[in-house]
Amino acid sequence: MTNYTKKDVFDELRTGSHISIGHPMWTYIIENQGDLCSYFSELDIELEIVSDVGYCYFKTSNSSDLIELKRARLIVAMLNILILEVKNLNGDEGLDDFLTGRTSIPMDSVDLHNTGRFSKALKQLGVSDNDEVQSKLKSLASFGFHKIVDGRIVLQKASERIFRYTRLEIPKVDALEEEE
Amino acid sequence: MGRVIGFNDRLRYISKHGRLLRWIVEREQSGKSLTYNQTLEHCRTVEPNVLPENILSQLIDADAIILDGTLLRVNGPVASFILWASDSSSMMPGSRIEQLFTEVFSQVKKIQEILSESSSTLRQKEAHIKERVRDMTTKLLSLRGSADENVRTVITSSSSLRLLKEEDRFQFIAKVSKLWEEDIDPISEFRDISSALQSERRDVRHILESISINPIANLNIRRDADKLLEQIDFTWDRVSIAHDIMIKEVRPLYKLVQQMKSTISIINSAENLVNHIITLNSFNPNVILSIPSIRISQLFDDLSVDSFILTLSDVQDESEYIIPQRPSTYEVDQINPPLDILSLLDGKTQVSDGMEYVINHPFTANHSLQECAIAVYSQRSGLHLIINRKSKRKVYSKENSEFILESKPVTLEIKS
Repeated sequence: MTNYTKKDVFDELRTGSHISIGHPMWTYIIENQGDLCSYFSELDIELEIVSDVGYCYFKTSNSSDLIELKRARLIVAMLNILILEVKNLNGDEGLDDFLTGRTSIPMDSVDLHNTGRFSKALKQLGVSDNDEVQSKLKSLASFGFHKIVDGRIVLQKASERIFRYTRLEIPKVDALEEEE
Repeated sequence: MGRVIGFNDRLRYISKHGRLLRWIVEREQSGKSLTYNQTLEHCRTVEPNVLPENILSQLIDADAIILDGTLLRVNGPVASFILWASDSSSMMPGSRIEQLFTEVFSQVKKIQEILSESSSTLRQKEAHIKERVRDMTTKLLSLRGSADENVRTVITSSSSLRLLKEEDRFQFIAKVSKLWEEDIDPISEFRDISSALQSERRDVRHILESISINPIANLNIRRDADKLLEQIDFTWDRVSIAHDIMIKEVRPLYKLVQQMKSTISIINSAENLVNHIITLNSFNPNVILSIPSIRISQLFDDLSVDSFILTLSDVQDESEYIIPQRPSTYEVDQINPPLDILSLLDGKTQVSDGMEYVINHPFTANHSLQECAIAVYSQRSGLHLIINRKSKRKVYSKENSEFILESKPVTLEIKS
């Protein structure tokens, strides 16, 4: 189905969700991007379309319309820790495939609290055990950076936004020594 | 003084001691200089049944090896031949190819200058030009050879690069990046239609075309210009074809390298983020990412709903609601109602002069001539308008109208 409306796009994106290539609404958005961007700009909402990577989202300059800080931190931290976990599990090539969305990983293989540093970081963010990791991963999927299909995690093109933010915005910190 | 060695002997010695030469070339390529004694020692271990001094003296006599004090090196052309034979010859970088073309093009411009000099005789000019043409031919030949050689090197090295990807990712990234960025990309730049070299090439073609029909030049010069033009085009095409093949071969590897570089960068950033959370935990992604959570406007938010419910308790019943009086309708009464021609006909099936009939109808006493005309001439379903073309034109007017209408009478007929 390609005959969506502006309202469908608004309803999909207004709560912070990101639409990546492969989403049923993607083609409609790309075909009508000029019209949609100018329409939403009149409502003071910026529709950002990163067509070379393949995703889009709403951006708001109104600070009262932002998601809460805790949730934003959680999605950034969990996706980054997740890819480090995938590297540990599947090696560099496995990570290449995961990052490009070619492969998925089973939810139940994700045990982020098994690695000391990851566990410490997650506890700082209030995620105390692995059950909570699983439930957070499920609830955070609504942002569209990753999705969970048949119990497997698949990264979406929009995740590029999170990794770009991490690369550009997090100040350099000296490496810590791994705890025994 | 060594004896004079001919082609056959030279080729035989190089062939016989090719492995030793390759061993020396490989060491030279890794930046190690070998001494005569070190090479002698190597010969002893590899070929214990042959006197090593004899091997080295044969190679030195054949000019395959050059002795420089105590150090020893393989002669340049021989080293190139050995690399070529061992499928590991080096690429001619794109920048060098561009430089050779530039040199050829500037030589052509020089020929034009020589030709227009008034101080030299035609014979002198021809001699100068011949010399330059010879130099250019050599350069173009070298370019064509390098183009083919580059393709061969790329094709043979791409499979070994794929293997290297499994063994050493960083080496793989370095080698493929070098191949793409230094050997292939510069060629793409100068092949671009708007590049300086392309524009020079167009100028050079124009110069050579004009020399080939220039009456000041003699037949030999004109013929040389023709040949040169042909060779430049031929060489350019060979370099272009070779470049296309190299792109096709290396592009998938380069894309892979880009992906790998991106993965490495993502891993490093993720590691840094983990360290940041453990030590500082002060990042604020919600402002920079600006991820929204927009409530639909004009709907109650939770507080508004609470507040609305609370104020409901203060509401008092109204005893009676009185509808206010309307203001005067005088102005509304002054507006003529629109004329409906079917109502005006009032059951009549035909009227021979519609305009006359409507003007004189009692209902239209206050209507203007324009309003009457609109009623008559507007299309209505079920009503035929027939203009009596054979009749004379008639003038219609109305007391309250400043206009008159001059037209042939219109018969109005109700369709059965």
